[in-house]
Amino acid sequence: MRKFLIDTDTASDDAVAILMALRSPDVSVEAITIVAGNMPVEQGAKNAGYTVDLCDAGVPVHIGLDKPLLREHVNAEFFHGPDGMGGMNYPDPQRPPESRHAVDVLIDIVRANPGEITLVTLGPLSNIATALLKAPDIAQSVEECYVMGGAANVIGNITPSAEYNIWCDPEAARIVFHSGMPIMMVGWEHCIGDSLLLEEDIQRMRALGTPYADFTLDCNRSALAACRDWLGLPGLSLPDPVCMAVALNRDVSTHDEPKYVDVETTSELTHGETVVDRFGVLEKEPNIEVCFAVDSEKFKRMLFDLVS
Amino acid sequence: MKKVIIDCDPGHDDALAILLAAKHLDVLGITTVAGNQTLDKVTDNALKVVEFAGLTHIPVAKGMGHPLIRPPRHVPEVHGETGLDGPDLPAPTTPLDPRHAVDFIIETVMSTEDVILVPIGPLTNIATALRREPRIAGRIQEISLMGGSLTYGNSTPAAEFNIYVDPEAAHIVFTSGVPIRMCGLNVTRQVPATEVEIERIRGLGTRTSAIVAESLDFYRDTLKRVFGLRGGSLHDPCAVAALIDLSAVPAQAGPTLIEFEPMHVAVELKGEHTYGMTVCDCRHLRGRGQVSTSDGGVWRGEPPNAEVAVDIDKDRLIDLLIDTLAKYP
Repeated sequence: MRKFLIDTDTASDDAVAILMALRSPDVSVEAITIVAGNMPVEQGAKNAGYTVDLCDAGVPVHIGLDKPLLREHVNAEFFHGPDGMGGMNYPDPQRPPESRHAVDVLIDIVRANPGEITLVTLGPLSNIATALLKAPDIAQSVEECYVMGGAANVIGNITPSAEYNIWCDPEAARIVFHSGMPIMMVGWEHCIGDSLLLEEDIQRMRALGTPYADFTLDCNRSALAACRDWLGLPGLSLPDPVCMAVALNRDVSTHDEPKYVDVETTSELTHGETVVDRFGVLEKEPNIEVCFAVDSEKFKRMLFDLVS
Repeated sequence: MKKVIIDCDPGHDDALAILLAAKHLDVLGITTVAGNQTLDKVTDNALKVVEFAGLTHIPVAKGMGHPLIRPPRHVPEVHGETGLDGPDLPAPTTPLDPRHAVDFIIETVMSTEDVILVPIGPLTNIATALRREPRIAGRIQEISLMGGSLTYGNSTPAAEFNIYVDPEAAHIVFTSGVPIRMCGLNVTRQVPATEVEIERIRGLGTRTSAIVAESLDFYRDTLKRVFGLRGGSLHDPCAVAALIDLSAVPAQAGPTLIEFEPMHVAVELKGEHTYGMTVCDCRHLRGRGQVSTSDGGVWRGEPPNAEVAVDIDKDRLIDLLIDTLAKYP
């Protein structure tokens, strides 16, 4: 069994990614930790908790930082709906979030399972940065950390050059990227193009008729509308599930290379940009494995299998 | 014929851009700016190019020797100590135009309709001209520049050399309101100067082709040695090629050589890791082929201020260059 820790600002695409991990037979999700991002932490915890209930998984949910390290919290209600779940207003989870703080739980679980934890981050990196500041040793104890965030140069969504998760808390991202933890960055660019769920994919998923398939589509109603109206995309983008797919099966990434990556924090125009030294002009030691291409068909197949 | 002023810092690829322009466009003048090498050196090189190519009827005016604010930066590791290392060219004897390049640009634009500026070095001259005589902004037909990048840089991971050297000048140009066509590194780095292309040029067997081939030998060798690249890239000719009406070049008939998309481009003046970067907002292109923005769709950010090159037919550009070089003695 692989042991996963999922750090998330649970809104609709996070929920699908969580569902994928919970339904993967060879994965045990040790805990879900919540960070402010798409949603305020209370709503994020509800959304994660409902997803756990749906999968009858009994995984504990812990709340973490309720805002970025330095900046004001800017949520993504406009994208995911007021509840983050397409306005589905799912019931409260059967059990409330655990009382222990997410940062402490992250540290404890990694320390208790040295070399065994796969960390998957689906939101801003505030919790992870804080945990690394408090317990720098965990950087070396994590087996691998998959980060949904950023993009290889000059592909942004919230601004022309920055992706939302990193943009939300660039200082945290900077701490995490320079922590020495083994990291694979699965950027936002991999959820567009061939990875989009187009109308035919959506109909095919609806036809599966399972509660997981329905949930995947229902909670992403607002996201689909925002993809079309706000991003101008022809289908539903699922950044977190793409990252989760790579974490679940590294072969979903078809091209990744270690690169030196830094995070811009000082500029108003480009803060939150993940600056990837693709051609090695800085001649610095790589600190991040950057995913440059994914197998979209493999991703979709995995998603469909897991919601069937 | 389109009337152009080439503003440059030769530079191996600058030299090729001049040769390409002179056979397809009406080159009203060549202005020089510090960049690849010091102002004196690149000005000398511009004169050497017009002399060896028999283009001494084109006036050459010397411009700004220092970026607006930042300290000068040159790249001897790319273009050599002279800025055009390789062939042993005689010291030029052609006199310079008596005017400063900034005055040359202003006077030419104010006295001539529909002038196109083709900056292929740092934008110091163009920015200074725009500030010195703001009326030129409404008279310049277009600026077709080599600089910046839609993706990665070469001076830093995010910034391309021409913009990185003088980002404040680039900011002035990109906010001037003049229609801009930007050929950035994302397309120009695709145009190769490897052994294959250089041998094709040498094979023309002319005096000019021998000089060009020898200069590109140096360029390719240094880039190979210093940066471990397969060879050089012919960046600057792209900004010229973007202006050439290929339907007038029988052997080159076909669809567009360089494909452009409208975008807003901001020049980063502050970032620790991004300064000198052209921040291109291409978010509206994500749904390309599916969602049209040209007919009133919603732009996510600022409205576009430039046409940014997104794709290039590099083989046809090489063919065009070689066909053009064949026209020289």
